[in-house]
Amino acid sequence: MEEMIFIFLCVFLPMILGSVSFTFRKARYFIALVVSFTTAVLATIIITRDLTIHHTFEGSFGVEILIDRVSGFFMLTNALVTLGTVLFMKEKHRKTFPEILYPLVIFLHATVNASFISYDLFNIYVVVELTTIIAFILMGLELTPRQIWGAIKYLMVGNTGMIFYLLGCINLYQRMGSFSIGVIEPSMKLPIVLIVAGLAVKAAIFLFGTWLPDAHAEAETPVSALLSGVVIYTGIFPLIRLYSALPNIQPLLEVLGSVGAIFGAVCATLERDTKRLLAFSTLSHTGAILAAPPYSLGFMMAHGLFKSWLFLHAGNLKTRNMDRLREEGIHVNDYIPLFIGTLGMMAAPGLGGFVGKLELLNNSYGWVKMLLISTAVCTAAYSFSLISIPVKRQTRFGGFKTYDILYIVSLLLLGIKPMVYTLPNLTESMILMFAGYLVYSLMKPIKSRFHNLFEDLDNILTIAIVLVVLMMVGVLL
Amino acid sequence: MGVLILLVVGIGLLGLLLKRNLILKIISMDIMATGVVSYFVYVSSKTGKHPPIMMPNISDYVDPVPQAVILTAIVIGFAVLSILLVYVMMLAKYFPTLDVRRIERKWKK
Repeated sequence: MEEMIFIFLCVFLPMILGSVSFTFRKARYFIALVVSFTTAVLATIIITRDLTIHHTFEGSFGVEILIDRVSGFFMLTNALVTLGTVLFMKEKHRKTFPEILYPLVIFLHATVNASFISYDLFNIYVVVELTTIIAFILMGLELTPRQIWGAIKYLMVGNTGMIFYLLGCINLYQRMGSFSIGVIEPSMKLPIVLIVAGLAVKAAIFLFGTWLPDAHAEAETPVSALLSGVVIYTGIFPLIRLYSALPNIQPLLEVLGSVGAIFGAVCATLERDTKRLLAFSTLSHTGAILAAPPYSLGFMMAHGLFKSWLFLHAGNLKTRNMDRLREEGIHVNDYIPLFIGTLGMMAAPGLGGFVGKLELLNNSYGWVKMLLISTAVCTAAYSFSLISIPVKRQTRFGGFKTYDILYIVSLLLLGIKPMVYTLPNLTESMILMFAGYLVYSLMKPIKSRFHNLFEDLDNILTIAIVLVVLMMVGVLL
Repeated sequence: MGVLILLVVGIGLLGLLLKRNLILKIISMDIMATGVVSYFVYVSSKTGKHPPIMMPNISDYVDPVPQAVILTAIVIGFAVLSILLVYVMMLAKYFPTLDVRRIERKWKK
């Protein structure tokens, strides 16, 4: 009975209310608030009571769900990011965004929640594809050519990935007679590689994720925030579930994750466009989250929050070109939130990013740790290039908006963990930030656009297929 | 039989990688998806040849589970295909070409 209540409240209720909000236009803001509050309350209950609900519907082939602490954290991130975005949409003028935005955001909230509780491969496939379709419509909301192109790239690459995923699923079913994650045995290497590759495309890890900058940066402001804040996690969450069922895929995730982290960070330092910089930074952070799955929950939550917040304010600026922003300066109302969010991104002490990143760094070893440290340095470098945008003169600070307060409070709450604030950790963070400043001043004159090479549709597809083949060869040998 | 079906997936993959026309790419993707659907049906036919309805004197039934789940995948594939084609139509309004590289060259400069 308990599981039915949970599923109803976090999946079906948003679905029903989302359909209602198509007709009742005046209520759609409150509906969106109610939906995200419900999820937040449920997630808090799950986390504080440490609930674990495992249930299979209608016999052994039915839909299998698992609700536990991990899904609680993911759901809380979803709730907070949706809440922040909805408050932002309210704050902006009503006419700015198309009518269909609110219902789609509510539907997206429901499907993302559904992906955080499912525990069998086929259900994950259905929910992830549903999220993809809604995200696709959201990406091309304004129907400008670049938005359409970003969305088409996303759907084509994602769908090809899901075809590999399905092949992996049926191969597993042939051997095990079930789609549940719980029954997969570590010896079945081929289907596991196919499934991991399919999910890696959705989670945007390493070269599987080069569709991301175009899709996330060209979208409307609140849509970018949602895409980088939660939609990415529909791919990451099943990978974390797979990891906890089969710890022997750890080397695979470590390689993909840590190399992807440094790749995204280097691309972001070369970028001269605010929204694309943030998109490349998402590419880097998804890699970092997967490099050490059990310890990355705090970093995952912090990343969802500060990234969506930064996207909301980057969308407020007049232009996306950073050289022009440097000349003109930005309003102090945007500068202060951008500054705090960027501090969260570069792991300054006191905010959620610090706790999360140090947990990651202290629990990784060997070359993975080396790569993660260099990623942190690059992260600090591109954070400095964001912070160094000057403030326009003669502008007065008009106070924080509601969504700013929500993001600041949640980032500060995430930053409370007394065990982490030791002298070595603080020095480490300071050294990383200083090294980042050095890298920033060294990289400043470089104007390279080599990373755009990876973003052509043909190149993405070819590289992804080559990577799948390499992974298969690597795992089978 | 299984190898032949996987060959269909491979042909779709080649089309996806080698064709430069966007519509042809999408059709190749659909061929891949069709291959996967047929593979699911093939796997379910391994346990027997009769439809899964109780009948006297018959014990080798088709496995109903892969067939049941692949129905969802077919519907999803249809949805993806249709919205992709709609967006390609929108894109063709802006640029009178469907060549992938030409479209990408538009904003390279």
